[in-house]
Amino acid sequence: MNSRRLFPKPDPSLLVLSSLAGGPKHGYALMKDVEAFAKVTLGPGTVFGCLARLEERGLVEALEPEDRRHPYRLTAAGAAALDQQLSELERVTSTGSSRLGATRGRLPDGPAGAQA
Amino acid sequence: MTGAGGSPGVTGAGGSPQRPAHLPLVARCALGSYPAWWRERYGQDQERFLEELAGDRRPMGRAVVDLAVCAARVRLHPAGMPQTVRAWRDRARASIAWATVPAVVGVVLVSVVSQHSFRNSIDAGSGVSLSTSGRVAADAMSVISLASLAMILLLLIGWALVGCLADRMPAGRARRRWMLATTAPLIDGAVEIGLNFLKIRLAPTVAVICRVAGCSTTGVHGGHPLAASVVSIAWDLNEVVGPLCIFCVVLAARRADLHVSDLRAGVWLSQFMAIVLFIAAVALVAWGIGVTHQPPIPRADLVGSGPGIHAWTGIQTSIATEWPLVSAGFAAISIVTAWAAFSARRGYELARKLFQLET
Repeated sequence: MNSRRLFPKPDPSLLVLSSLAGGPKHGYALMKDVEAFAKVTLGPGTVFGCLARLEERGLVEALEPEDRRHPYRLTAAGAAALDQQLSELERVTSTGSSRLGATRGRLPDGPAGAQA
Repeated sequence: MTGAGGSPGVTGAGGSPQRPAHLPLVARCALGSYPAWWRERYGQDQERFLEELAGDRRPMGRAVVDLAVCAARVRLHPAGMPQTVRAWRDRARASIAWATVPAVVGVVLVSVVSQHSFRNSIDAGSGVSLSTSGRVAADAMSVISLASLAMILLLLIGWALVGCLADRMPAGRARRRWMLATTAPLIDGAVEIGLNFLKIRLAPTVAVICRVAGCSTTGVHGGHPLAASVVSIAWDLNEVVGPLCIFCVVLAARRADLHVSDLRAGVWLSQFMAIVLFIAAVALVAWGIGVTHQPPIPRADLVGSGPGIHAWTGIQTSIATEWPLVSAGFAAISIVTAWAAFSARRGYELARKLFQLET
């Protein structure tokens, strides 16, 4: 089964904040960075839609434009919000991973249809 | 700062300034579909993004679709919109236009429904027996006709009011253009009435019943042939000019530098329009249900009386397939208008509040 279909793409805002945690970037660089670490391609509408929402909430800020584009950087509030979000995700992933490790091998075979 | 790149693997995206790549027209259109405040703030960034995408020879199609979808989203939910009078005033103005344009389509749809054979069957009145469903359909048709009249009046008089009640008119030639555009629908309405009068006098029509096929048409009966032709052509031309006038007004309203308070009449207009369209949509559903449940009317009851009568027998099959489509289209128009009216109200109130804070 395609896991992408079962589990939808990660929230673009989280991806954008994670990318900006590595340093200021402009839109296209941000898209390429997200593509490199998350294997998710964000379109220009999605990238700038996210940046607009995050900028409105004070989580990112635009720097002086260079070559007709603004680089964006994470603010202190943005870093805190990202930290909180990642902690929550980490709690879920660590719990899931530890439980999966404990029960692996004891799991029953699925129905024949699921194997195909 | 790590530059625009951030990490070595990313800097290639735009370390040194690149020569602007030529963007396809569809990409420019997608960029242009964003509201003005967005284009001012993010337009250059997005354009540069697309240029770099083209420079890397990556497919543009997905990016363009993404832009178009996100532009629609931004228009619906203006996250990040600056809290300025101008931005909210422009949003209210665009919403008023959005509430008006679907109504023009609505008037056309209503007029198509009003010309339906069922209406002519009822008008015949010569012993045509209607069931309860048929009477519901007949009453719904009356409501639709009234709604159509209300919509036309709102479009013609309402827009003229929007123009005339403006507190601060554009000056000079722009003022003349503005006044002409806003009164054009009224002039068009007057021309329509005059042409109708001339048509009745110079080119009277009579129903021509085709007994074999059970269909009917209208034919010119009496009057001077040349005068009748001229009036008929002028009448048809005016039918095209009407909607064009409305579009001219919408364009004029978008271009004019209006004051916040000038939008008050437009907001009221869009709200009335939404209510009228909602009533028409409900009536249309009632009409469709009523018509499909009305037993066939014998042809003998219809032929030979009233203008343009179609035989009712056999028409119901086409109605059964048509009215859900027409109703769905009308429901969509109603939703767009209702949303636009709501958005216009919100934009106007916020713009007014910001204006009061500024002064």
